[in-house]
Amino acid sequence: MLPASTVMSLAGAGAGTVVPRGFLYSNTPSMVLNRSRETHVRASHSDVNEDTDDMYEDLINNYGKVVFSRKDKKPASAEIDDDAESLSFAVELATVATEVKAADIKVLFVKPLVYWTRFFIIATAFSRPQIDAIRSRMRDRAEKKYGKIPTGDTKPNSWTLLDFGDVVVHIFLPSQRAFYNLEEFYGNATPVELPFENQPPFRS
Amino acid sequence: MCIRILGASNRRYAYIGDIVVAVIKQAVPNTNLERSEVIRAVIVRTCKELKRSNGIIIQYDDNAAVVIDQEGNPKGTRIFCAIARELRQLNFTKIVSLAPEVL
Repeated sequence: MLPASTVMSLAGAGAGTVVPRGFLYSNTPSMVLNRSRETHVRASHSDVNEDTDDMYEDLINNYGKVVFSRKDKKPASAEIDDDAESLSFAVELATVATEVKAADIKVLFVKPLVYWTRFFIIATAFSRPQIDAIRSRMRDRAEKKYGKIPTGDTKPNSWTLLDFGDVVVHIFLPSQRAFYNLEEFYGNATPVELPFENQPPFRS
Repeated sequence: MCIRILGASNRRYAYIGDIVVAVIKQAVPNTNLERSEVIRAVIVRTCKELKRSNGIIIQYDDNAAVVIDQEGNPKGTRIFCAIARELRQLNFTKIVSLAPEVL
């Protein structure tokens, strides 16, 4: 589906920009359409059905091409820099999680799948005090080193979530992790290799 | 059926991101939610349009809510259909991360 800020330009110049308020797909927001006067397309509540969808599809195929014109779009290099910064931040947080003995830590690069964040960290803890420990450690480290303050849960919870903007941390109890099964839901995301994973297990 | 909007003293309508106390009038059989149970739910879609400061107006075809428990975890494991990004600012990132599409 197209993002809400996409501008579709249909059929040539000389058109006024129309913002149809009631323009509806099912469960999609209003879109800005740039239409020519020759195309007599009315978007109203009454004629919204599958036929109009088909009609728009035909019009787009015939005349239009999708133009992405986001003003706040960054150049590719800045985007890569941001990615690298978030990656180092995510790996740092994952390292913090291992220090507090969280199990089964996964870092997923979810940026291609969802637009609202870049990395997911999924970890299992075995008790609520441990969740609290992981949470406070991560919070401290992020605040000291990166100056980021998380939103999300303020109390230890069976599914504790820390939202750092670009990085979202999920800490589950084992039963909750199996119940929600977030890894499967984000199965298409690329897992990030962690530096401590390949180390041999510590012998006591 | 909605009983009450939480965090409001005398509000008539709930909008996207509000928590409501509600009772289940109808339930799918063989699920862990039953009829006439009192639950909490977050409104995620409304027919009433939602205006953003940049001029975008979002209007859905239906009204919908997500059932949550007292701690704010969703009771179900998946959410179908699109939800609005305002929920993330209102600290419902768990719901947002289960949704297939965020507008």
